[in-house]
Amino acid sequence: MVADKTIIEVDNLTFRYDLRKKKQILSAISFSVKQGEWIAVVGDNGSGKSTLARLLVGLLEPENGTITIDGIQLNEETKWDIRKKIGLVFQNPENQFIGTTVQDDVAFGLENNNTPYNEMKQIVEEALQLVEMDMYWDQDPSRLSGGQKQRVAIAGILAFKPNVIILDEAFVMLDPKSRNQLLSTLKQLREKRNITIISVTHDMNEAAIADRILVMDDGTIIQDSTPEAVFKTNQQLAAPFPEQLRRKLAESGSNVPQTYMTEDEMVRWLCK
Amino acid sequence: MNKLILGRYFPGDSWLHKLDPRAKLVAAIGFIAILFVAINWQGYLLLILFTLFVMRLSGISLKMYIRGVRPLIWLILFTVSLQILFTAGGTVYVDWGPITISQYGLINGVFIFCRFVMIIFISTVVTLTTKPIDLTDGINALLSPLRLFKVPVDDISLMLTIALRFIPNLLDETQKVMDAQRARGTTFGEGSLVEQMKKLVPIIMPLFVSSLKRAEDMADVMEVRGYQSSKPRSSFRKLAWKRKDTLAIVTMLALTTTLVLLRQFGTYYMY
Amino acid sequence: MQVNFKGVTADYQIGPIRSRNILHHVNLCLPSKSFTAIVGHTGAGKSSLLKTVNGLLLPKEGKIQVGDQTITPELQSKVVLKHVRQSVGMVFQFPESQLFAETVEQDICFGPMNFGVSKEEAKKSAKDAILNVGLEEAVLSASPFSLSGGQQRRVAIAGVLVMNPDVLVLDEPGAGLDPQGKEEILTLIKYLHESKGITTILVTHDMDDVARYADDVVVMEKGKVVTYKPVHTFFNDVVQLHAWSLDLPEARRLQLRLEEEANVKLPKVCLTIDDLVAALIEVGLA
Repeated sequence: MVADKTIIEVDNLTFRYDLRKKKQILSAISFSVKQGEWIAVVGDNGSGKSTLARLLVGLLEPENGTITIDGIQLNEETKWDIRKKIGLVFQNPENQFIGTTVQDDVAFGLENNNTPYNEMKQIVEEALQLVEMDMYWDQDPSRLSGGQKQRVAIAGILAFKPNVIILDEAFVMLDPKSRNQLLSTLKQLREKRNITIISVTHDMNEAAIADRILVMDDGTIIQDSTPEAVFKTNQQLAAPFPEQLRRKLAESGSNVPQTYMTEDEMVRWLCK
Repeated sequence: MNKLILGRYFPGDSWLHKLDPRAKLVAAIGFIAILFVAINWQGYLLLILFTLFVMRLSGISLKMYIRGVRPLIWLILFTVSLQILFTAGGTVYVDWGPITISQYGLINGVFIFCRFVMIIFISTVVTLTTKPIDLTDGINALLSPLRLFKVPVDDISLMLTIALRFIPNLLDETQKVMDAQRARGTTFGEGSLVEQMKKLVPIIMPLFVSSLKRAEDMADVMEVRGYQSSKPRSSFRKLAWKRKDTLAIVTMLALTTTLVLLRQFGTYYMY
Repeated sequence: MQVNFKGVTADYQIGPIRSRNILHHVNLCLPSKSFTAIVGHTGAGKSSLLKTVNGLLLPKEGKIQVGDQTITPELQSKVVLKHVRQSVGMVFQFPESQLFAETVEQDICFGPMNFGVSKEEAKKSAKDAILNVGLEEAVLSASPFSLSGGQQRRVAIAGVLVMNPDVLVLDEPGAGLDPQGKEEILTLIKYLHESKGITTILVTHDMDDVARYADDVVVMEKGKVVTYKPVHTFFNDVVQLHAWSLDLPEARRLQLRLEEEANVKLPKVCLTIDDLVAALIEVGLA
C-alpha cells in the first residue's frame, strides 16, 4: 500500500558531534521515504545509522541540511509537533518504560500533551489493542518480556496516530520469540494503519523483508535500493539465510540462478 | 537489604488495600498526631487496641510487623532509657548517685516505647497495603495546595514516580553485579572496615555507570514522547474517593474525640 | 572437570516473599570437556541452574559436585566455595556491566588477586588473557569505559578467563551484539573449549548457536531438566521440539520445509548451512 505521498524528505544532512573536529558522523545525506514504506537502515557500528535515527526525531540538531516530515520542516519550534507524527523505539526495552504499569506508560505521552482524562482512557485502550497488549493493561514492567515492553513502547507512539515509526536497533536485546512477535506486530500496523517503518538494524533476515534497504558506511549512504539489488551487489553484507545457501551452492558447482533469492524462490527452485 | 520491611508493598486485597491512599495518609498522620493526646493508661490501651485492629485488618501476619521494628530497636531502647533516667517524680526505686529510677520515669518510659512502636506499626501498615505509585499519587494530592506558592508539585511527584519505578531494577542490578564479583572471588562481610569499604568499589562503580546510562536514555525517551517541564500536563491516574474512605476518616475523628474525653476523665499522670 | 547435579532443588528469597521452587530435583551429569547448551523459555530456571554451579545460589536439597568439590545445602565452608569459584568461570548476561576499574589491566587482575595470586603474576596472566580474547596489548592501559560495547564484552570475558577455569559457564554471551560480533565471541569460546579442554555450559535462546557450537543439549522447563541429548538426536525429534515450542536452526527448518514440499527425504539431519549444501547436492536437488 505504498502511496505516492512523500512523508520524509532528507536533504543534504550533515552532522558532527564535535564542531571543532573535522570528522563528520553524517556527511551530506539525502533520501526520501514514501508513506507506508518499510525501510531498513543497515551498516557497521559507527556508520552513523543511529545518529540518523536521532536526527529524524530532533534529539540532535544537524549542522547542515534539512529534514522535512509530512510537509513540515524540522526545527526547534516544530519539533514538538513533529514528534506526534514520528515516534522512536529505542534499543533498551527496560529504559524506555516510564510508567508504573502498561497503561500508565502508554498514557505518558498523552499526559504530556495535556489530553483530557476520558479521551486518554479510550486512546490507551485502542493503542494497546493494536499491539495486542490489552490483556496486560495493569501489569508492571517486571512481569513483561523485552518484546512485550517494546510493543508497549509502540503503543505509546500509536496513541498519537503517527505517520512514521523509527526503530533504533529495537530488536537487538530480544530473544528470537519476542523478535518474531514484534516483527508481526509491525507488519500488521503497516497493513492496518499504513504506517511508515524505518528500522535501523543488524539483522539481515529482518532487513530482507523491507521494501528498501539503505546501506550506510562511514557517514554516507552507499546504497539505496531493494533487498534483491543490495544483496546481489554487496557481498560484504551478511546475507539472509536463503541467499547464503544460494551462494554456497554456487560455490559447490551447482547451477543455481545467479540472482538474489528469497526463501520461497529458493524452495520453488529446489522443488522443480 | 532484604530485612527492611518499612517502605515495602505487600500485595493483597484487604479492606485496607482498597482504601484511597489520601484517606490512608490523612488517617495515619492523624493517628500519629493523636498519640500525643493520650496521657494515661486508658488512652494508651485504646490506641494499642486500635493499632492491633488495623494490623489485623491488613491481613498481614504480626511477624512481618515485628520484623519491621527490629532494625530500629536500639534507637527505641536508647530513647526509652533516657526517658527513664531523666524523668523524676513519684516513688524512687533506684538511687545510685546520679542515676535515679523513679515511678514517673518508668511510666513515661513505657509510654514512649508504646508510642514509638505504634508509629512504626501504623506507617508500616500504610506502606505494606499501598502500592508505591498510589502513595505518590496520594502525596501529590495532599501537596497540591502548595502549588499556590509556586512549588513544582507535579515535577516532584513525577520524579518520585520514576524513582519508584526504577528501584526494583536497581536492586536487580545490584544483585547481578554482586554475583558477578563474587564469582570473581570477592567475599563480602569479611575483613576490616577499610577492606570492606574497598570491596564496595567494584559494586558501586558499575551501578553508577549503568545509572548514568539509564538516566541519559530516560531523558531521551521523555523528550521524544513530548515531556516539557514547563507545560501543563493532564493526569491519567485518577483517585476515587469512596464511602469506605469517608468511613476511615470518621473513625479517626471518633477515636480522637474518645481520647480527648479519656484525657478529662481517666487516671491522670504527670510527665 | 565434571559437573554433577544430584537431586538439586532451590528457591529464591526476595525480601519478605519466598518464591516457589525455581529448581526441582535436577539430576544432570555433564562430563569433563563437554560442551553443553542449555535452552528453555525465560523463567525456566536456566540462570538459577548456572548459579548453583559455583555456589552463588545454594541448593535447598541435593548437591552439586564440581570436580572433587561438593556444594551442599548446609555448606558453610568458605574454602570449598573459594575452590569452586576458582575453577568455575562465570560469564553473566551483559558481562560488561561488571567492569569497574580505572584500567583494563586492573579489572582483569581483580579475579586472580582475589584468589591470592601476586600482582606480578596477575599482570602476566592479564596480558595472555587479553590476547586470548583477540584484543591488543595496548588496550590494557585504557579505561574500560572508553571502549566500544563489543570490546568491553571481550575485556569482561578476559577477566573470567584469566583465572584459567576448568569449567566455563556462559549466559547468553552474544546478547546485544551485532551478528559479526556475536559470531566472533562464540568462535572464541569454541576455540578455548577445544584447545584447553574447558567444560563449557552455554545458555542461549538461539538454536543456530546450539547447532553450531554445542555437542549436547539440555532443555529446562519450569525448573526441571526435561531432556539431555546429543545435538543431532535432539534436533531430529521435531514433534517434541514443537511441543516445547522451541525453534529450529535455520538449516534444519529449511530442510523440513523442502522435504515436505519436494516430497523427498534428505539423507541426514542438517544443522548447518554446510550440512544442507552437502545433502542437497548428494540427493541431486541442487
